[in-house]
Amino acid sequence: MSKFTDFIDGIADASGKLAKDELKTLIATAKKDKSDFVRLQAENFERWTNMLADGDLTPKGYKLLVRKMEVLTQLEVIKLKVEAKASAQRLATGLQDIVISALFALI
Amino acid sequence: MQASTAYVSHAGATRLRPFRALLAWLSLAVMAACVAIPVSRYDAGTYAHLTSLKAETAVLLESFDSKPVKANEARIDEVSLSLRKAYEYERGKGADNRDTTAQLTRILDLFKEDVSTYRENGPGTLGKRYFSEAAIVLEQAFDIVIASENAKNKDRRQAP
Repeated sequence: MSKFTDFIDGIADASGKLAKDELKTLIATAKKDKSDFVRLQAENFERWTNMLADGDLTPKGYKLLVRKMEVLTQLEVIKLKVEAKASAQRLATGLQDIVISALFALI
Repeated sequence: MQASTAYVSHAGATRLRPFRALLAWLSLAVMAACVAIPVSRYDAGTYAHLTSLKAETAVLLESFDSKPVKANEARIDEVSLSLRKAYEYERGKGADNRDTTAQLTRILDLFKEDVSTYRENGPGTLGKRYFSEAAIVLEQAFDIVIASENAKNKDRRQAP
């Protein structure tokens, strides 16, 4: 058992609001994701949770850091959009260069 | 002889007419596609600003864990100004650069939030390494924006 899973298991939750097993599975799966971004965020979350468990972060500090993950996700979404647009732009420019400039001149 | 050549050319042109029409439509579609993709070209200036700001902001944020607020105010002003200049540079490129401008807005907001948290709480109260972790987040944010810039196509007039 890792420090992370021990800490999650040890959280007192009489109301049963926290889906502990789902959370542990979510982080374990994200750490093996093919996306660098997803793996990095899972590592952030696990590291901050361990720091909270060790008393290196206060609950307020922990919450502030975890909320920053939302901003990182927004930035990543924009990055994916830029990559898709740049890819489409390469195709359009290539077609224009090859079809219009080269092929048109030959027929 | 001239009449014969003219006849052959005319026949060839007749055979190619449907193909030419198809290509004309294709060229229009390609030109429309070029116009409809609002993304700016790669800018070496942007890359330089981002890598420099990444280092400057990270070093400053890490110092928030130990330095008193008063000792950092002048440096906060300097880095805030550098960030604002970089934002204005990106905004000035116009609508095609709106993605990078949106990313810079989020970076500015992250930095402002960290400064505000520092001024309200001072060093150490949110955890002995809270701001070092906030610096890691800001560095990751810059890395995403830098990767976005690198994904853009280079202008054909730029050196490879």
